[in-house]
Parts: sequence; structure tokens; C-alpha cells
Amino acid sequence: MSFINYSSREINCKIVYYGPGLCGKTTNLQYIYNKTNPEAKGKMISLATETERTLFFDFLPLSLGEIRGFRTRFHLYTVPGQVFYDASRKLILKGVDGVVFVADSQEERLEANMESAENLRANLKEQGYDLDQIPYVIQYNKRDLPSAMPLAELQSLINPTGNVTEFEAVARGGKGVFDTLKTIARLILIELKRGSR
Amino acid sequence: MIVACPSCKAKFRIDEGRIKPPGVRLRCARCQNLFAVRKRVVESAAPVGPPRESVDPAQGNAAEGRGRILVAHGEPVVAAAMRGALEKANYEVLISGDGVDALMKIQRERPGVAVIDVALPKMYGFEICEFLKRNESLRYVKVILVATEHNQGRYRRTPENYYGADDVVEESEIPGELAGKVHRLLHGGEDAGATVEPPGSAPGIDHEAAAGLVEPAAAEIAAQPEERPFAEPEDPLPEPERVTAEDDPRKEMRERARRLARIIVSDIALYNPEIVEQGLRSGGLPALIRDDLEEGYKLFRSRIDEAVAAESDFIREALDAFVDRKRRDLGIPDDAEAGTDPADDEHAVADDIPSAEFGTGHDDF
Repeated sequence: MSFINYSSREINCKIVYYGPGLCGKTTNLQYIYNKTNPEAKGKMISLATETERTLFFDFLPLSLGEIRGFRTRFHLYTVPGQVFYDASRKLILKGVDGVVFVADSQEERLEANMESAENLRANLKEQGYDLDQIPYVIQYNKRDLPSAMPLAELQSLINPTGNVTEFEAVARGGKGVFDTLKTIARLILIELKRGSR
Repeated sequence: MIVACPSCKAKFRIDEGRIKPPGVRLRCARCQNLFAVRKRVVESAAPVGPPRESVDPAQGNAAEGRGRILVAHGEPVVAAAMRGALEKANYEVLISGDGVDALMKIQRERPGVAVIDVALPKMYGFEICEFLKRNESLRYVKVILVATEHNQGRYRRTPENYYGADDVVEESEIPGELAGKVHRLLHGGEDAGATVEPPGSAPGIDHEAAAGLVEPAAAEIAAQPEERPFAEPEDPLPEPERVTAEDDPRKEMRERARRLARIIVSDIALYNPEIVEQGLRSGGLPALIRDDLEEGYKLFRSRIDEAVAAESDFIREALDAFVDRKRRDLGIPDDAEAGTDPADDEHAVADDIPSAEFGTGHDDF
């Protein structure tokens, strides 16, 4: 749930990048961070354990547009993708305004994608969200690898209804990264303007 | 038709009538690997651009464009690097910046080799590769796919899985290796296709047989003439898997348990590549990843119905299948005691897991 800071006249929104381990969530954020105006962004915080796993989140606020005189500030988070860290994922999902699901296009990770997508839906449900109702975008990452599965096959499993906006991406090189971000930001802004929450 | 598991190479005979468009996913009965199979395509999709006269695949286009190389890459800098490397070796180089243009140029200019970035704009390189290999009149074009350099060795596909490509080059290898790979594909040589088995290694069979099967896994099967009596598969034909086809709830839960176990093993391997490789080579992998396995068992028991979980050691089974597959990939001989150390009883490990719930220390997040 977004919150409004009246003193700074800002609406703060939370976007969570979700997906299986090493699918490119952090790479997305790093690319966005590197390409964002320094004045528009806060400090990126990356927390990892001694085993080099991304355990908590990367934090990146940046400003995009205004609503009724209030600037919107987006906070971008990633979740730890490994199947083990469900407790952390649940915590990071709290108060989410929009979700980007980053799928790893490689065949070897197909089951991990499906598990993560199901896990996302279940964790949101626990917190009273319906994945079909909140701003949600799917990104098929790592399209540059020869092991990438045909898009149609991924779509049939991860976006079977075809109702979710989706992008192909090569996050390392930035392809599709800002398309994904702009779309999820736009969907969140539409929700805010509707005042439905 | 005959299909082969891309992971363990086990071959199966399957009735083509059971393969509905756009294809089915099969699980290998031997190694449990999931792979896609599509129906063979006799006539490929309509080519882009005007149709050309058919070229005798056996002759290739030797007279026309043997020394002509098409280079297709979305990044001009990389394309220029490839052009430089090939021109230095006296090849005539054509440049293309996107997939559609590349395909048109291939049909029009008839290059001997096409060096194609896998992530080309407009049409991916692997799609072009599949198209060329399915098209009788273009099959002679040797294809080298350009892959982004990536240091995650665990993700490299086995050679026959590169969409039927003749070879693969990573961007960092372009200056040193591209010209040599092109030369070997055009003129033959022991090392042709350092990472991909050269289809030309079996003259007269390769391209004929490579026709039609879309899935890269078919590359190896394709080397078998269709009429040849095929050895009986060592394993029974796996049933095509349908995600929603589970009628028996228990069966569904069992499959979910297997899937979760595979993901747990996959995640452990993903985050511990060096340790896993060490374990595969030296033996005793379970002992080396003991802590992660403990976490895995704990997670597994928290997610899977107790009765189903008690049916079998799903994680151990997934680990064994993983070890078998990786040992084959790494070329570790079967007699090596790698992976499944009999002295290490994971059941005992699992039973000894502390009861504290993971994640309770994160509440101040």
C-alpha cells in the first residue's frame, strides 16, 4: 500500500521484483540505478549474507511524474529468489503496490519459474492481495542465452491467460528493463488515480 | 518418430499422433529431465523474401558463397569486431543488424557461414538457426551462434542443444576463435565445432536427417536414418506430460513433491557451483552440501504432505538424478564415486534438523 508523505509532498510506492534465484532481479535494479539521474535516486542498499546470497533487498527510490501536485517516489525491491527464503519474501511483499515477475528463460529453470510464480500468488494471498487484481508485469529475462526457451512455451506456463503485460529482456544489457519498469509504474499510477485502494 | 533426451541421450520412440501443436513436454524416464518435443516439419514456414531455386544441399553453395560470411549482430561494435576478425582471414563479410534483414541476406547472398547473435532484434538468432536447419534449400548454411559471455558454466547447454547450430562462439572469443571456427566449418577439421558436434562429421547423413525436427534435442536423433531399425529404447516411452492432467490427488501431490525436490537441488547447485563441481569430481557431494541439504529437507517437510513425504526420499532421488546428469555433462566416468556417497545417509541428516523455523531472525527487517 502506497503511503503519502505530506511534508515532502510525495506519494511513495513499492515495486517488488520477484522471481527464482539468479533470474536477474538484482541485475534489473542495478541497470535502472546506473541509468537513473543521480538527483532522482536514493542510495541502493544491497544486503547479502556471508554466503553471498541476496537475502533482503535492494532499495532504490526514484521519482517518476506527479499526481495532483504530489511527486511519486518508487521504491524498488528484490526478493531473495532461492526457494528456501520464503519468510524473507513474505516480509518484502508487505505493502507492495506492484510486482514484476522476472522469469529466467532458460529451460533448466522452468520449474523454478513455475514454483516462484505460484509462490508469489500464495504469498500475496496470505496478505490479502489477489495477483490478478494488483499491478503486475512479467519479464522474460536472459533472452540472449542460447538456452532460452521459445517464448510461446514460457508464456503458456507463466502467463497462461495472456492477460498480463509481458516483456522480453536481456537485463545485463538493459534490453526490456525500462520497458518493464515504466509499465509497472504506469499501472501503479493508474491504480492510484482510481483511488481504489 | 524417435526422440532423444537432451540430457542423458536416452532415445525413445513416440507416436507422432500424440504430439499436438505446438508440442508436448516429455519427462525422460531415465534421468527425469523435462524436454520439449514438436512434430517434425516437412515444409518449413514461408521464407522471408522471394523464393530461390533450390540448392543441392550436398554441394552446398560452395561455388557461390563459400568464402562469404554473414555477420548479424544488433550491436555495431560487436559486428565490427567480427568483421575485422573475418576479413583478416580473407573472408568476404556481409553485415546485418537485425534478424529479418539477416534472413533475407542469407537467402539472397547465399553465404557459406552465418554468424548470428542469439538475441538479434526483430528475430532471434536461434529462431533463424532453426529456420535454416528446417529449410531444405538453406540447410547447407553453417550457423555459428554468438552468445553473450556468461560465466555461469552450469547454464551452458550441451552441444546438441544449440538449436541445431553448427557451433557457438561467445563474444569474448571473437578475436581469437571466430575465424578458426569458420574455417573448420567450411573446410572440415578435427576441431570443427569445438562446443557443438559438427553435423558434417557424418557426410551424407547429417543434413538429410537434420530436416524437420524443431527441437534442438533432435539434432542427435537426426543423425539416425529414419529407415534404420532402431535399437529398442532402454527405458519405456515416457508419457507426454500435461500440467493439468493429474486426476489422482495423491499423484499430483507426489509430482509436486518431486518438483519441489528438483528445485531445491537445482537452487543448491545454482548457488554453489564450485562446491558442486568439486563434489561431482571428487565424490561425496552430499557431505559437501550438507548444510544446504538440511535446509532443503526442512523446507520440503514444511511444504509437502507428511504422508507423501514419507513415501520416498524425494530430495535424494532428485540429487541422484542431478549427479548422474552433471557427471555425464562433465564427462566424469561412471566408475567414479562422485556424488552419492553411500556413507552419507541424508535421511539421517534430515532427521537431525533443528526445529527452529528459518527466517525468524529477519523480523526486524
